[in-house]
Amino acid sequence: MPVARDVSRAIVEDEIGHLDGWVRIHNWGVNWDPSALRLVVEMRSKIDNERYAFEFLLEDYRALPPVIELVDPRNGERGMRRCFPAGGRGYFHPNLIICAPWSRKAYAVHGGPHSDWVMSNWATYRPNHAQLGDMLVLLQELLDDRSSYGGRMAP
Amino acid sequence: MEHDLKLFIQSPRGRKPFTFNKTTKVSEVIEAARLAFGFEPGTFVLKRERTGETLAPDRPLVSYHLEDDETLLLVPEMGSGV
Repeated sequence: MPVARDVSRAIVEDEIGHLDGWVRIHNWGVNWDPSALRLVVEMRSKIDNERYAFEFLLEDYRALPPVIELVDPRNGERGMRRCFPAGGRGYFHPNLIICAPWSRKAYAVHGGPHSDWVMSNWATYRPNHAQLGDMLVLLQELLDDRSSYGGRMAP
Repeated sequence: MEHDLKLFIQSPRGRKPFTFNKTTKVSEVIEAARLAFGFEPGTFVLKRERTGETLAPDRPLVSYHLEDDETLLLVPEMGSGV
């Protein structure tokens, strides 16, 4: 179900156009590369001050959910345990994926644990976490959640 | 109107101005904001940006001594990973 790149780009830019307030509140670092359909948002946990960078690859968005990768802002390393936060109410999965319907890597076809979800229905499973702002604010909430945040997954 | 309170509500889907009677319950504020921002029914948290204090749904706005033009943050419940 391919989506024209210009369409995905327009949708992303509309959704991230609402983020200014959150960028100011949480001091996010936002880097949007429209030619690559790549959005990187760097966040800091208010609990231990650790920094995490969430990379969203948005090809075929919104027909398909984002491909989310974690990048270590200290050295640019990608997809390693030390790039990931631990805990996070089960969203920060030990298999090094964000485990939610809005994460393409959570689906079995992309190596994730979920063969029970239909990817084209992703936005209907958690409709209040179905836009980029929803996902980003949730990720920040998880980093600041004292009941579940477990620090960096590896030093 | 001295009985009204002008607030901004910042949600993951944008920021909008609202005016409520000061006796409006927090739960009613959440519902108005939910509809305005196009969220589906569910559980939401409403917090003061200034202090991070979470507002209890059954209390009226006036009980928090909010100031005009203050910003409240509307966030859908985190839920859990699956």
